[in-house]
Amino acid sequence: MRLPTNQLVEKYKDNIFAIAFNICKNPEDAEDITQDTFVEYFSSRKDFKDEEHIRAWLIRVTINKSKNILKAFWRKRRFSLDDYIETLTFETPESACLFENVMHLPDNYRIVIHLFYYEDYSVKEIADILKISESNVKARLSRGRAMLKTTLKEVYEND
Amino acid sequence: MTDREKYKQAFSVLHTSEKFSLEEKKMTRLKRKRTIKNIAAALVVSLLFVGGSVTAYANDLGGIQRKLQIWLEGDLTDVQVTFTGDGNYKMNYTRPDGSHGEIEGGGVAIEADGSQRPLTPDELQEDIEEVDYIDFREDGTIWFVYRGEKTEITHKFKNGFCHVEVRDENNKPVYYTIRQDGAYSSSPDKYIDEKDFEE
Repeated sequence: MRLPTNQLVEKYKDNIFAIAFNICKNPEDAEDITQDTFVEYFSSRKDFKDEEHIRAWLIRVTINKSKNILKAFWRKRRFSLDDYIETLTFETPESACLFENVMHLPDNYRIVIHLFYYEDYSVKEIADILKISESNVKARLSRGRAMLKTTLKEVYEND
Repeated sequence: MTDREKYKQAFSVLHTSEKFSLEEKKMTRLKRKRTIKNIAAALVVSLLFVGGSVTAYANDLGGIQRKLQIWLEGDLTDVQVTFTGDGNYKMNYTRPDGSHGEIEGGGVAIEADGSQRPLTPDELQEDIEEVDYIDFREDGTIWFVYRGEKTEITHKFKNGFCHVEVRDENNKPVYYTIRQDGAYSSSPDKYIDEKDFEE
């Protein structure tokens, strides 16, 4: 199946942007990546099983593009993450603190945390998206949570 | 509030900007990106139309058929292209070793009002005749394809541009300037200056 690109953009653009930002930590790069991801979907002739399949594909493409942009030697944009966080309007000071703490996590933990808590993916689904083992996902989740222990206090039994 | 709810609340502040859009220019430029499937070898090949006679006729089975001579997998090959009338085409050919090859492709055009329509056979043939294109792959890599030769350029961009020198069918140099969003320009004399790129 295929869904119209405009429909997907409306529904997922902020999710894709958040994932791209999670990795590259730069809103301009994240927006470029978001556009590129949807344009790639548009120009692809790939067929999908269902909307969930499309969503997972969009996320996988976004993650790959984001990692590539980090490796690009031409990427000279100097950007202050902390200055950008100052421009955001959070509902509570705790939200601001959590956001900042997550964005200062090591890269490998951060994306796993985001896919788990924001995109509601299971450990198995995250492993499939990132092409890593489930045990690796669990380890990164666990270590990421440990580093956020002052803000994420629940104990998960499904690890 | 659960941890999940706290996390979602914190990250709900992230939105694309007001100027976010998929520009028509990018969409119409990338409509020509082909998805080519070689059923026998699962390779992506570039297609080069080199002279030869072109016969167009209507086929009772449906679709317009044309006979072309193009470079495929390093050999000048007779192919039969069937344009199915829905913006797609199917190309059948026989390799020197006698095995059968089949390639499919197609595309859509974006009209000024944003609606889409299938490419016509003439537009598709023009697409097939392209000797060069930029391939944005699912794994995030970017490739420049010229006469079937693939060069990865993912990490070759500097200030958003990269340069590639190739040789044409007469072994003369052709200089490509490629912008990271897929726009490119070429010249037989020198690399096109980045500031001369049209927006």
